[in-house]
Amino acid sequence: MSAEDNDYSEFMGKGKARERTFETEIPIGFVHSALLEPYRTRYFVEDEIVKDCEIEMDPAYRGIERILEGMPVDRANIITERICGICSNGHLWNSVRTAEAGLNIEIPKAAQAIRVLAEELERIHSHLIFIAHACEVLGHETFAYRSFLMREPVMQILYMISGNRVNYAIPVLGGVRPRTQIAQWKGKAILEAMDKLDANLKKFIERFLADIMVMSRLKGVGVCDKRTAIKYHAVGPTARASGIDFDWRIKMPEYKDFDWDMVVLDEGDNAARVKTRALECLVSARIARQAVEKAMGDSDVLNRDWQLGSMAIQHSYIEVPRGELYHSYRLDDQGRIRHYIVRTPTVTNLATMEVVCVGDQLTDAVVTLATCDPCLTCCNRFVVIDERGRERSMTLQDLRRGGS
Amino acid sequence: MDILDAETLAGILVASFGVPMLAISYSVLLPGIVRKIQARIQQRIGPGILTPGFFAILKFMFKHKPVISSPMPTLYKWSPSLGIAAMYFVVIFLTPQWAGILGLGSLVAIIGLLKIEEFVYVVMGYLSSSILSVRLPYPDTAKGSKWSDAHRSTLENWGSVRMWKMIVFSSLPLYVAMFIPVAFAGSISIADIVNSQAGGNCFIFRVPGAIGAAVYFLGYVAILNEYPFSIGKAKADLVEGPMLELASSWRASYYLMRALVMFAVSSIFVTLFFGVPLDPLNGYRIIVHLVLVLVLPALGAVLSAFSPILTFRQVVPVSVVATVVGFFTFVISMGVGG
Repeated sequence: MSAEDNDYSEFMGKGKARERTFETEIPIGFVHSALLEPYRTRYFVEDEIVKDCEIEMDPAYRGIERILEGMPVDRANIITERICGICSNGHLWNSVRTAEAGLNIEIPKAAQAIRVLAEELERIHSHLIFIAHACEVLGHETFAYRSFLMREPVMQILYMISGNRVNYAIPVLGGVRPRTQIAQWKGKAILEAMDKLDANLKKFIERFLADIMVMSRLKGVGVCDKRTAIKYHAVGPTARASGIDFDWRIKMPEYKDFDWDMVVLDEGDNAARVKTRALECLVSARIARQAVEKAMGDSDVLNRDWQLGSMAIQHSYIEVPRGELYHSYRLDDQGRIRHYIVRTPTVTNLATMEVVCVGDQLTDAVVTLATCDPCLTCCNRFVVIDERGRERSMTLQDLRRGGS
Repeated sequence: MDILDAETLAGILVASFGVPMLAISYSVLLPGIVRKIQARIQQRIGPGILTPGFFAILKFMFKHKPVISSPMPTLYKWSPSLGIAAMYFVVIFLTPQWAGILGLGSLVAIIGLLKIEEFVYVVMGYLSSSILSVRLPYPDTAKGSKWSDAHRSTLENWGSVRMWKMIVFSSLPLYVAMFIPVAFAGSISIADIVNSQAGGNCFIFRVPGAIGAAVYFLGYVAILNEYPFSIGKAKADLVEGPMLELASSWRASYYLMRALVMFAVSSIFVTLFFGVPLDPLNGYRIIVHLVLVLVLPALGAVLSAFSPILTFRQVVPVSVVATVVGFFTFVISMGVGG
């Protein structure tokens, strides 16, 4: 290797900033074992303490809105389901829901219940992935494996209902796919699995919260108070762990007939964020049981009595595992999609975490970011390419025009 | 001792070459045993016993050698070999055959050699610059950054800084615990410590010995950089820290070094606390020794399976408490000893 190959000076700081700024910067990513997706975190540290943090997620841009432009809505739903690998059902449901609201399509009750069931099962498996990932980043492999063991029966149920473990393709315009109706035997199996999950999860939560070493890493670390959560618009369990009592499920008509409680904690630290999600799994299991009762044996799951046509712009919000998911589009005369906009919960949650990890130890800061449950590939919604390399500010009007 | 005596010379030769060979053969089993225990705790099957320690080394030996990104690649690549050499001497100095030669069969020599192994990580950290952090060719400091011109450290550099701190804090209990049997025997000579426990009078079965063993155990986990004391190479941020750029046969040498450290530090424990030396000329003793060597790795596997990584916020108090306990036990042992 030549001396030139070993010259890293271009990567090192120079000039005034080098004298002015922190002891050092530790850049992590885009390729890193703690990051499940490509994002880069720049931690500015003094000794082990994080003084500032910047996150970048540009490489994850996939241009899905661009692909959807001009696509028939039923075909577009195949794409929207693939925005996220974990909350695939949430994206598909919201996409379908947007058109259904605009075209006044009526949904059979059993179909609504199956959609809710799928979403709650997805929430359980997503939260259990989150707990496993947080434990992995924490360095506690045993808890991580236990969490994955609890998740497996949930994946089996999703497979049993839909025939797939990732993209379930359950909602369609007018209801759900007929193959996903809940027969008696399926319903009983789900109820049994929910009971087992309940028992296992309660034991897990008890052990997790009683573990002194784990709690010493999580309690009082990455504290996001209610004010900060509001200021940076934290959403979902991340916000609810900081005392914000809001969940889109309260406003969703689909959940009107269900009996459930919102999990809200006040501590706002990493322990609270893990605990919130663990408790939400119990709530989801409760909702899933009710959904099974409502849908079991009912074969009326799809309304085919509707027609595609033009639709004014519609906005739809639902509560996915990570928080608020927004989908919006309009349909032209031929039922083709125009101006699709997706906003996922990670954008604002990550902005919150970027702030709250300041003051923590570097290793704890990585856990803090993990506890907001980032999902990057679905969160990166637009990219601006300026071939002339100019730096400029973009107005709201620029963004509305698509950055041109 | 007359080293020109044929029998003594043969003993020294066996201790110098036979024992290290035995140590290498046995130590490659230890990572597999550790991984198997952890896997069973985690309700997994886990790898085969020979996979992590033997087949992994064999596999890496024959892998393509990539160019290592380091300002001093030769020193970086050979650093683990330095650790292997240090462990070679630790193992032979533990044998009764080396007890009387130039005072090398003493605790001071062994501690000095262990320090070399610890320092190897610091050296590797400063000499490595992987693509995972600073060298990633992406213009992330170009626009919108508040700190576009900050000094930047690689993950390995930061690992090196942490390894420095770990030398200061976390291995201290290990060295304090080593001196508890010294206080009991009234000598730093390995032979004297072993002789003071002759006739089944094992130091570990006394109260100070048991406390000392517990303190030593914490130090053992720390010197191996295992969970919960793996902050120097914490996967959460540093991935592998100083070892990031080690590939192919160089990584194989690192795996071998780690396995040997596991064996050597456990072997020191068996010699000091059970009074069973690594005697190649005594079949019974060596079998007992090898069986007892499994104790620390097995306990370490259990601790690691149930622990998260501790940050310095937790490592420092744990280390201070363990060192203070070790020190008081040392003082008590001086009264018990003799």
